[in-house]
Amino acid sequence: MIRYFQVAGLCFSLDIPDGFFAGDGLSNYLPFECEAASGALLFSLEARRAESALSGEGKLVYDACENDFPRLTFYESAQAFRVDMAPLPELPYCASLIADKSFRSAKLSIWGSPKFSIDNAMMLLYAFASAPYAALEMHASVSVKDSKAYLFLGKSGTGKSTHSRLWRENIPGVSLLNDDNPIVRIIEGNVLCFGSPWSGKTPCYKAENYPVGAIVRIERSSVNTLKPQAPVRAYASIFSSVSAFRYIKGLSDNIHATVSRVVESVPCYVMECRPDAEAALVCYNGLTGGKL
Amino acid sequence: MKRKSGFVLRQVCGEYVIVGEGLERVNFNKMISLNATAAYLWDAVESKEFSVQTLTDMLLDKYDVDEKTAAQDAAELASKWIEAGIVEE
Repeated sequence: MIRYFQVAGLCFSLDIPDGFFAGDGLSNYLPFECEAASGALLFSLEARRAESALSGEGKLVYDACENDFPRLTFYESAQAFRVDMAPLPELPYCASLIADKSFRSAKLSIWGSPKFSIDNAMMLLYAFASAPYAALEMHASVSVKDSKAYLFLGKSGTGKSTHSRLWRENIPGVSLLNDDNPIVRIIEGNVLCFGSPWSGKTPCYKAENYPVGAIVRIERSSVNTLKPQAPVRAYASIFSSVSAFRYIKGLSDNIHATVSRVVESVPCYVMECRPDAEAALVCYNGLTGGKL
Repeated sequence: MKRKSGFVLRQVCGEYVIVGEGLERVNFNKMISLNATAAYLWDAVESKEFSVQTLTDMLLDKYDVDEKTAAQDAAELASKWIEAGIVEE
């Protein structure tokens, strides 16, 4: 059965056998489900069960193997990329994605965890295929206040989610848009932040979007201070938070162009902070001129 | 010396930076800021062998500067690039 989804205004399809998942394996996608698209799809993915690992083809080009992150091993052949994936570096591979060079048409063979495999393949295809549409798949936690999105960036474990939670607990009218992988996209000159079906460990899948109020890099500190970020620093901070896949030629140009435009139009800051209520108030007041 | 491949000059809000891109630079996680002169020289030495003397000559050609200052600036820039790991000797 082919199902269609729309994320940040871009529509893609998943062809998956009926009864593939025992439970609600695709529940995070339901808010994004749409009618069959009339125009071109961002990408189409066909997912099937495989008996066992496929034998590989192509030349090994990159092995993304970092602690606490999924392992992605890239092979390239004349016509296609193949990406073998595992939930963590220490776990065995559970699926193999074969995609055309533009990542718009792909087949996924799954012999291990289906939920991880589908989510990971969809995120990867989305990040690659959406780059020409001024879209960035970010690693960030996003709070919404007064219909504006505030993105918190930072290295793994610096407290992005915690800072977002502190906003919700201490500032009236704050909600969470996404806790891990929102999409930032420029549409008609406006920098918008969209919810997505991917939100890390926090189930928060919202088909909503808001203009970006500010982008804030979170750094751990013993004090709570908010400082504006110089453009080049903001560029570096955002670039490092994009699922950039800089090793695929051509994509970097798109991502560079989008990140540059974001830096030019959105206020960017660094928030040195403790994980406490005051941090949320200092940050919010500094960003909005509020007096909480 | 020679530029290492995979480093791209980008302009961000009117400023110049060099970013590591492409497969061979996937683990290069820093960016290097350049002024307009350094950016001009970086572009000019693309895919060719160069020395401090090459850079000095280019500076003398393009800018109104005396030879001593040009040589000093060129040497400084070359050692910065080597230290940053974006050129090979």
